Amino acid sequence: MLVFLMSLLISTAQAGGLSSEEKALQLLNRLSYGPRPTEVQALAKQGNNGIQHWIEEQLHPEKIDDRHLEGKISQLPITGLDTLQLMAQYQDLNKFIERDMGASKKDLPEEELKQLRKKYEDHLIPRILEDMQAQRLIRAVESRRQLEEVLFDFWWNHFNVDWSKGPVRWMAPSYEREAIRHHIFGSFIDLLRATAHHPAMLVYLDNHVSRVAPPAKNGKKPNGGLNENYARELMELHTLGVDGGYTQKDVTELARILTGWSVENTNDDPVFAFKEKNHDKEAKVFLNHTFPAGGGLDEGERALEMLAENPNTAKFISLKLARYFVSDNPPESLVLRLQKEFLKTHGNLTAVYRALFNSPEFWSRTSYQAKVKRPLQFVASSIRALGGELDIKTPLPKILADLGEELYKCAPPTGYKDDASTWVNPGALVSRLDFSLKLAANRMDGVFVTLPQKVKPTEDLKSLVNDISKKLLGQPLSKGSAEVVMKELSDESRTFANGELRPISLAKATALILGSPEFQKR
Amino acid sequence: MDRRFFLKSGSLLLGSSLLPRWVWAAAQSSTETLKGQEPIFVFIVQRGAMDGLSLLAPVADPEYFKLRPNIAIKTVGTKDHFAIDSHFALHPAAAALQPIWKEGTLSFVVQSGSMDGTRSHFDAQDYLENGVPGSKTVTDGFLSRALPELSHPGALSAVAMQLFMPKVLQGNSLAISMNSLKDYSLKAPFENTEHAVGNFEAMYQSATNKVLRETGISAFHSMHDIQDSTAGKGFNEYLKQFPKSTTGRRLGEIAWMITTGMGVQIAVTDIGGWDTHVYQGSNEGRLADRIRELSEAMAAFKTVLGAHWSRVVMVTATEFGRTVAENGTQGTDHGHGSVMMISGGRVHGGRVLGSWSELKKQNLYEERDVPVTTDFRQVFSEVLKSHLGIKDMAKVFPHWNNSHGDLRIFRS
Repeated sequence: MLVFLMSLLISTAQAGGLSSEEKALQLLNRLSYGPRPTEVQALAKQGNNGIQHWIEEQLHPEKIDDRHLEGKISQLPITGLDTLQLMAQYQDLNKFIERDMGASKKDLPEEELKQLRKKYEDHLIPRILEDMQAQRLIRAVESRRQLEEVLFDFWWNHFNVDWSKGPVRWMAPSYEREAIRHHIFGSFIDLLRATAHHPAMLVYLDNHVSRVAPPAKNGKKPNGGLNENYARELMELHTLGVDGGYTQKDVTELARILTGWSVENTNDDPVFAFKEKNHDKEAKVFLNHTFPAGGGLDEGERALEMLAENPNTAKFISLKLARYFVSDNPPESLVLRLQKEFLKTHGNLTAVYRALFNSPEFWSRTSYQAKVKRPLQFVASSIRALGGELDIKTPLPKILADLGEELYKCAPPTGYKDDASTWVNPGALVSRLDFSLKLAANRMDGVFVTLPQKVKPTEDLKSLVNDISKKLLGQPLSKGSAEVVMKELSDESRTFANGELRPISLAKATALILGSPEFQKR
Repeated sequence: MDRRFFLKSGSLLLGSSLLPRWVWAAAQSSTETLKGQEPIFVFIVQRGAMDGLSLLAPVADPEYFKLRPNIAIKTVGTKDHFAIDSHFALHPAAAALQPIWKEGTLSFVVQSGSMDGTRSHFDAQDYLENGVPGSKTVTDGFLSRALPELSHPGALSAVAMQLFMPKVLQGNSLAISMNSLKDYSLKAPFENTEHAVGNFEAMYQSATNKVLRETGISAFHSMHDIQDSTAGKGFNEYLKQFPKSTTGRRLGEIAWMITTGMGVQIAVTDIGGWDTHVYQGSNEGRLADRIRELSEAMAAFKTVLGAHWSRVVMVTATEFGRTVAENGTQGTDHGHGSVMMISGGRVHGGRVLGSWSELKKQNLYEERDVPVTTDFRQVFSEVLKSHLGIKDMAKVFPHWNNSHGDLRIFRS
């Protein structure tokens, strides 16, 4: 702890003059979904000790009491259901039809039953996705375990699966809980193993159907054989990175090693299964390492370990973390330091996070406000800035889909991109401004925000603008933006018929600040 | 919404040295002179790697049927058969393209793609879009580099009709992406919202971050034009002429922008779902459904555009092709060469461009994939030069010499 404290002091001393308020904002913008009202000022008052305490607390989320949030989320129908229960509840469409029609399915004409089934499938199953999306947004806005939420977003995108792909819809909630969330603060190999063993990943990247080609029968080539999809992405996206020193031959060999890694009972109770008869039992050479014939399931386990221990994996994960938390083009020095920590601790993720949050690069002036918010970060931070809460009973608006980041529905295995150039364009900006207008007008269904109160007419618009920007943004607006907000407020100051000055509404000023160039950055 | 209001409210800052020159030019309406006549390039990116051997099936090659026992296109001898020439048949799901082929305004480029051998979707898509295969340091797109070379760039010159700004247009704040024209607006939750909108505009004009500033300015200019254009009933009626698919709607909206003279010169959209590792199907099936969606949307685009078709060149491309042999799950894995389509009123169509070799093992790339003998840049550079009038191709495709010369895509 002492070492940590010292390194923090050293690193913050090198901060190139980030003030204590700037440090607090940097911390809350990167390690949480943005400051809530007055949070920056409160944290800034506590100085470096406060910041250190905040980080350590967040690195141990199990010690943070989040019962209020969990209680709220437990009201969502899918909460806590495992794959089997989810399928039992949602797959038996007849049950829903009988309940809603008040009739046994035997009494319904076949054609009508068929149409009803189609209708229920179209409307019922998407509710699983809606519930998943709702809990995610609620957690981002309201959870006290903010760092866990931020890191979940990082790892979900790293080990992305697409909810829309066939039976993944049933497996995704379990994948979220057991494969990802459970291992966020653990070791990388456990996280990697959990994803590799999860039916959602094996189905999403087609490994469940990959198998050794069965021998020909009566001279006819039988169905079934190798599928390289998962093996390729396992190296390119999950571990080594595309330049991580593997060849097409390695892809094929890894695919052979992973033959038989499959799913049993896909349509009623999907679980991981190693299907011996689908496994290629011949010898393989993967990354210059010979796997003798007949290694079975262990070959795959060994291959995962080799990948997790490979220095290129440590580098690739370090680069991605640095890009996510520091800047789109993070300094090489930082990436190398994180890689070293990763290798030293055998992929202890908490140790890597700690090294990252302690690095001078994280606290540098160059990194400050250097990232552009992604849609989820923009939406959650807007609601948080207004001290908002979400209503569990109202389906939340499809705002993230409009902004281009519909949760759990990224089709390509890369996950959503994490650089400004993907997210800064006129179309996306128009959608963001539209959102900030709606939110400030309190017109977002299911979202309650507390707008800054109307204020008495004042001569000193400048300090008024300064106050609300500090409240919403955690720092003053730029001179140009502040002038625009001041102009808006002065146009609002009008008099009643009796000549008395009328109170100024801050709604439009709020919309302007949330839509401002400054608020798009973090 | 009154456009003049915005121009006025922004006029304080216009002309200031903070602004890029094109904004000034756009505000001066210099683009008006060209509207309704400008040539248009439509680029459809097929994401996920399309199997060229299904779109254009080499039905004269016995290897094709041998290597693909379950998924070869089998139309020979049926009424669904549409022979392109003595080698190739068009996929039956692409029937909507037959009239365009017969009319002679559609060509195919076989064995085409990127010279880089990567089988990573993401790298290959980046290379297709940055126009510099093998380079990861070139982060802007070739069409964003082409944009300033247009003779009259304006606020709506380059549009991507999709949620994300695709890489091919990243890097130039003049390009705009939108999911649909109707989404591209600020809905008014307050009385007097126009006022707040005008203030947003002023705020972005004064933004210190250059990228955010230019993005903001571009957003407001284009928003006003689009809102004016889609306000009436005509827009919805027009869209009814297109298939209900996503691609149908997107091409419909691009066609609307062309028909109503918004000044679009480069339009991009993408269509996914080509990554057919498992059960890709043959005459019918997953891949057939994608081909059908694309073909029907393209055909409607051509029909509805009518006389404007002569101003349009449409090109399709995918990041790479797929293995020649089917895999163990009646699908195909990541390969190399694929097929591009080029279509438009000026196109000297009805031809299969590029060279073709039989699917014998020794002819294949790494003994498994269709080779690439026509670099996709050959197609793009000829279209950009001959159709959009772009002269300085070294800016668009740096470090590349077109040693093969033109494919003679257009009628002389």
